[in-house]
Amino acid sequence: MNIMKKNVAVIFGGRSAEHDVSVITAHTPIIQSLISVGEFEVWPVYISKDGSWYSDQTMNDIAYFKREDFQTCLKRQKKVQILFDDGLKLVWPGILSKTIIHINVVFPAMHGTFGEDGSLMGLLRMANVPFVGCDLFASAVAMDKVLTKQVIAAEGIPVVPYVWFLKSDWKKNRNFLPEKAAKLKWPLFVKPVHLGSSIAISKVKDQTELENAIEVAFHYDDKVLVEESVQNLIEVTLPIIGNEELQLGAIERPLNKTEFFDFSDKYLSGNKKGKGANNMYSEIPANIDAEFVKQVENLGRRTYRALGCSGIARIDFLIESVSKQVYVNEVNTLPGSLYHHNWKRVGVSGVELVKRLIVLAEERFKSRSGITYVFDSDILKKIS
Amino acid sequence: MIRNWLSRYSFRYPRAIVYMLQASEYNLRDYFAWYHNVKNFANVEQRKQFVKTAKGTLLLVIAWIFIFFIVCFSSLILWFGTFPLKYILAAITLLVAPYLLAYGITVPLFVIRIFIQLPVEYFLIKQARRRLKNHKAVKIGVAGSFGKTTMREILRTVLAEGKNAVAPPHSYNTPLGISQFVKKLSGREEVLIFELGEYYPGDVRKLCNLVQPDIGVITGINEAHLQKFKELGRTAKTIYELADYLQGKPIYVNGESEIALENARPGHTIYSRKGIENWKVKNEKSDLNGTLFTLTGNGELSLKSGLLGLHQIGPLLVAFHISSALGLSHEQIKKGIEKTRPFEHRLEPKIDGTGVITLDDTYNGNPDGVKAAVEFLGSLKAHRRFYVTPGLVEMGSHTEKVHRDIGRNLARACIEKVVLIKNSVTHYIEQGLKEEKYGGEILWFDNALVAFAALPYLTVKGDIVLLQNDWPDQYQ
Amino acid sequence: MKVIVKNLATEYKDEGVGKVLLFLHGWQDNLHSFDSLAVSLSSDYRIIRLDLPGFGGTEAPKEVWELNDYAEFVEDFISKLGINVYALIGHSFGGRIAIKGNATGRIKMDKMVLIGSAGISKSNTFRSSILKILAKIGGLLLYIPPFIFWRSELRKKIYVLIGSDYLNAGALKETFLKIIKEDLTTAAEEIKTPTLLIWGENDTETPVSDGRKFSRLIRNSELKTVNGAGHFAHSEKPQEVTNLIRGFL
Repeated sequence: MNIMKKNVAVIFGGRSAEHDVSVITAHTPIIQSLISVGEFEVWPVYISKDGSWYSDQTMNDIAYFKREDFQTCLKRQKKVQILFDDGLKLVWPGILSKTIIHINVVFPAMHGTFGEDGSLMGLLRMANVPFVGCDLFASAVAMDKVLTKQVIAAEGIPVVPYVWFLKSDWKKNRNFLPEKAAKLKWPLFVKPVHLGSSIAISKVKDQTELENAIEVAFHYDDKVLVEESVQNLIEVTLPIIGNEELQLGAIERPLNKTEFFDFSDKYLSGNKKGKGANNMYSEIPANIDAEFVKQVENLGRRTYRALGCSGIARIDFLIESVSKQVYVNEVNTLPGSLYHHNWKRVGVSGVELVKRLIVLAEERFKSRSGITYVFDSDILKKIS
Repeated sequence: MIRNWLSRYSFRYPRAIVYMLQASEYNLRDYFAWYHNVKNFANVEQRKQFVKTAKGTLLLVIAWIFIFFIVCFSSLILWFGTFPLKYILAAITLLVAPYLLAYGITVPLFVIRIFIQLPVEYFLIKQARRRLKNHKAVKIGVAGSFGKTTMREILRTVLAEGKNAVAPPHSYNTPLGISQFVKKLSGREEVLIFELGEYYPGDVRKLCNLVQPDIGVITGINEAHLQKFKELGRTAKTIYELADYLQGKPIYVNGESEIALENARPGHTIYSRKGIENWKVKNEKSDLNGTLFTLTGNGELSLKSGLLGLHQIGPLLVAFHISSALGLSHEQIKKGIEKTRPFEHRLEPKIDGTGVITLDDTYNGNPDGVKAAVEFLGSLKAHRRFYVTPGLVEMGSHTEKVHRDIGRNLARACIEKVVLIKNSVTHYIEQGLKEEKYGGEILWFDNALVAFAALPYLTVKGDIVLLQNDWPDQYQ
Repeated sequence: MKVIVKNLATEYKDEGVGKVLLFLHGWQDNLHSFDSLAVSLSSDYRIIRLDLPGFGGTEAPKEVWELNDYAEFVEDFISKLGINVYALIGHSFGGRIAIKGNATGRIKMDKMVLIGSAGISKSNTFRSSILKILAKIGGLLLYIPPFIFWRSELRKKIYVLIGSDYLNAGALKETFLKIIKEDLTTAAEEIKTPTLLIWGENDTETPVSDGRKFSRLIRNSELKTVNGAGHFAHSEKPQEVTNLIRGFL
């Protein structure tokens, strides 16, 4: 039974508003599934809210993070050091000897800032270690809702009309806004462009509300998006995995009371009870016209490719059901809990999902190591 | 190592000791066997928790008083002792204290048993016996190594269509449990159904003397509790104590259980999925929705039950036969059988929000029940099937054979995934699987809790998961 | 809905049309405390509820605040929304803010309702001084082995026993201390607004005797007690409290 197991590091937590959600994603399904596979040695790497890095296998149990004395426990924990030369290594310094674990694959499970925006991916590229999910470029673009729209619109993919501006523009001159927004049809949505969750998103009906909402959005971000709201709206989302060859999950329709996903609805309500996150609040597969299904799947594939996604991503759509227009709204490069409840419906268990994602990570790593990055040059010698 | 050893000095230790006594039903042999197997006393309460019964609480208090005296004693030695060896003496006291407690606790237990429990029990049982003797209801006694609870529930459900029929809830099948139940009877009941539990030779006889049954059902004999009975002959003899008591009164014997059939005597009514007396079964069919069959003999009846598996037909026929004898019409019986549903944790189907179907058979831990469950799972062809088990306990000298058979049956039924818990018996299941050239996948887990936690990540919509048996804390 | 007040993202709810009723919740509570009142009153009034800084969906103040800062915060919130408050309704700690805001003239209102309001200082009662001494002795004991090993756990148990909000206050500990120190006896005397005082008869946090004291201090006030209710009269007996408020308005 004692075959050498692959060391997989699951990185989660982080200095982001979605710290807690990340802890959930890391455990359900990632760590639980990786352990269930039996072929991996799972190393949880936890980044606390203050940015300290820890790794201890007791953290493989989510109960660790639910303890009442969690903060005290964490303080007693020895911090882990990371080595980046030729692969990623976890190092625990000790008095007599230090323990070193060579990580074979990294499974990033950090949502939002620093985790999902490409920062962590940059670090892992530097370390030359295979990692699961989208690479730096796709992550960075998907993190910016405006950039996403700009890239996919250039590929001819329909997006809802919008305007955007920076905090500095706003500070200089508040009056430019009515001009910019004049072309849009009210009511409008106001969103901070980088925030992954729907915290601080508002729907506004008049000028005062708009100004207050922009102020709120700028409280969380330095770039704000104002877009039209879609009438006769059907919201659906589609998870996709794959590098070159894509596999689609089920088209899922969230059934909420509110007009858009509320932060608490999205992450908390579904997890309160029962196993499948979001289960009670979605219709899987969405009961929509066959023609919409076709469009969603087609646009999903095109968006995935246009952004250069790999591993896994989830694409959100807005459907105007009367005029039959399908828009791509945004792209999420680390779907909460990997949308494992959705994959389960199409016959992919949590275990199969993480195994597949790890294979995809290794494949991408291999194909990239075929690319030459270093050139011999005598440029230094030429400098006198 | 050190942590394990120190667990004997933790606050939880006395509670752990009393819990272990309680969970092994104050059987000292089981208790000591368990005690010597435990490495870390901080986590013996895994499946269940200490229950605050009068006896348990009293023992816990005594344990703490004992500890108090030990601490006082060693402190006194240290403070007042003048002899040079006082440190060593104090250290030895502290060292042996946990063991002293573990063994010493049996003394008050013994005292409680002799001076309180036994007299009280004797009185209660005597009283119950008297009440039952005067009670006009028809009393049915159900004995056997397995299937007693299901039989009891079937009888109660079907008979209730025409009679005021009651049975003790849960697994109240000891003299004391039955006595407590008898106290609550109103006197207006028309049928009483009792399970007669057997752990040691003579148990069934004692229960018969208490219950005084008019009708007996022997559900089968197999390796359950073989550890205690040592050989199957003694199990059979114990269970047939019911027949010895009834002498000439109606007795039903499960013909599907080989050993039960071998011991059956002339005049006993044999039942099986094929039929009972001159009633024959045809067109039988069983799936996740229940079981259908047609009964022909003195007329024809098509019956439908919510119970899963063809092996349930035999017991249903017993209910049919007894009900007919007690005067229920075929219409009533048909309605009653329609109402029979899987009992808790006995091949009980559940479907979760993600579309995974679980067959909870965790209370079924005997070879015949397992065989029936595997057969049923094997018949559900349109699904991917998971079979999860830690194996069976107390199989004594038959341990290897019983588990190899399970493995072979699983392979023959072509179950896609077999999930095994690592312990002293499951490798026999693996052997059995290999002997039959099993083509599916075997998944190993360190313990049942880990396996249960992993299942949601292994399954997808439409899968069927059969959970077979669950081990109490005392088995490893 | 969110709005930025004093550079804090502030969560609030705005329901119904009509004269504005502004609700302020208690310590360690949030705007949902008034859910049942909002349902029945929003048919005739515009109900605005907010999460006070540090609670619910509103960010915590970045520095230690005093009661006056909270009153100023509510003042800013009102002007941000551009509303005229017809009646201000405060529960417990929300009542403190209402009294302070009213007395200092920061918050303008036509009517005021206080439900189990805090603000009568307990610092000089016999019970609390005894408790204080015991706490000090207990605190010292906790440094002696073997108790020192369980110090934090025991401390928690003790605070739970005496039912103090102090440990739960978390980052707001200092703010909490500052706020409970401030006695509002003199502030209450300056109030001229018609005021309804609602008290649960079984209130143990702010006993009915506090309510009586307020009714003496506030000139234009009347005290109503709610039978069978405790400190959270508005959520325990919403129907009675709604009727009282409707009658008063």
